[in-house]
Amino acid sequence: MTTNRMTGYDLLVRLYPAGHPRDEMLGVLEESGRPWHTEAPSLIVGGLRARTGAGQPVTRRWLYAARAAALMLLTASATAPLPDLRYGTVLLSTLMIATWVCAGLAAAAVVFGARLPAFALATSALVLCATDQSSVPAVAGYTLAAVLLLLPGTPSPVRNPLPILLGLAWSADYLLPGWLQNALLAAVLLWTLIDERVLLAAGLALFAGLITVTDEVAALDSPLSALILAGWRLGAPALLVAIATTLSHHRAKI
Amino acid sequence: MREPTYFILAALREEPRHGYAIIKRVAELSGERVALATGTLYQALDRLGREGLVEVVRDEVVNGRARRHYALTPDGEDALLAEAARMAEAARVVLRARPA
Repeated sequence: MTTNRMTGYDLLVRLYPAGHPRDEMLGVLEESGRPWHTEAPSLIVGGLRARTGAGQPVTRRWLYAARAAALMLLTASATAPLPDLRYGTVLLSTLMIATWVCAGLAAAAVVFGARLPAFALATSALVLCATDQSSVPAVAGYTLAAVLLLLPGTPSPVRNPLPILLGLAWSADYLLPGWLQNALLAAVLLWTLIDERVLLAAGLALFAGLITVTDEVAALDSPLSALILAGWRLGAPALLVAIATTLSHHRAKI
Repeated sequence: MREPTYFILAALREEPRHGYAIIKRVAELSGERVALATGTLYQALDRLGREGLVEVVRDEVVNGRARRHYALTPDGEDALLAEAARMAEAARVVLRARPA
């Protein structure tokens, strides 16, 4: 076996976390001497899955997805007024700043897996936001985030930038150039090949839209509009959750 | 149970084996049909270890590299036999119905 190939394998097994038998795997790769293209894909996928914890049992994957959804919602709700700030149409108030601080700290607590502080901060953001801004989507986001953070379970830190980026993209929406939106979508789809939990989280987070639906229904003028709204507010999140759940159960098979 | 998992458990049923020996034995048992990549083997061993179906029974160092030997646990033996019985039953349905 060439030294170059072993150097390449040496780099790939570093994708696995420190507790994994990296040295033993290198020994197997050395002995088997098979071509790089037959070994590299499974080493990359296996390493990323091991490092992200994507190989956990189904209940823990759901718990992680719930926390990731909360992170997405906190990010999206906290940054919801930013597009308006760009045009100078939002008046900053002390309560608004306090809301952002609470939401930001709650998001940080979710990243580090501190559920109860995250829940307390998300609830504070909800109360402050409802008092001051009366922004229905932001209130909906904080509410669902708080509910998702209420789910008990072992600490599930969310050390993945994708939920934060998705939350930002959600709130920035039309400000983002098309290529950036497409790149983010491609990143989520690619990441789903490794770990379906971010897709599941996106589905769960989109259910926050249901909380705002009564406002939207009041503005509808035809049954077709109602159908489109139902498809978007219920169908899209349900589809994402269904795809991610199917992948999750398939991957949990021994 | 996935096919590679079935053959890994079958390979370990005979005796404890290290990683490369498992790959070789799986290829033999499956008539060279299942060629396990190293990453696939260790993902499977991880899952099987977590489920309590295989365990590490010996550590050693060979040619300067760590090497662990894996063995089937009693739960692993039960799972393997249950899967074999399920597949035999499924095969019987088809083979019995075949015209002479």
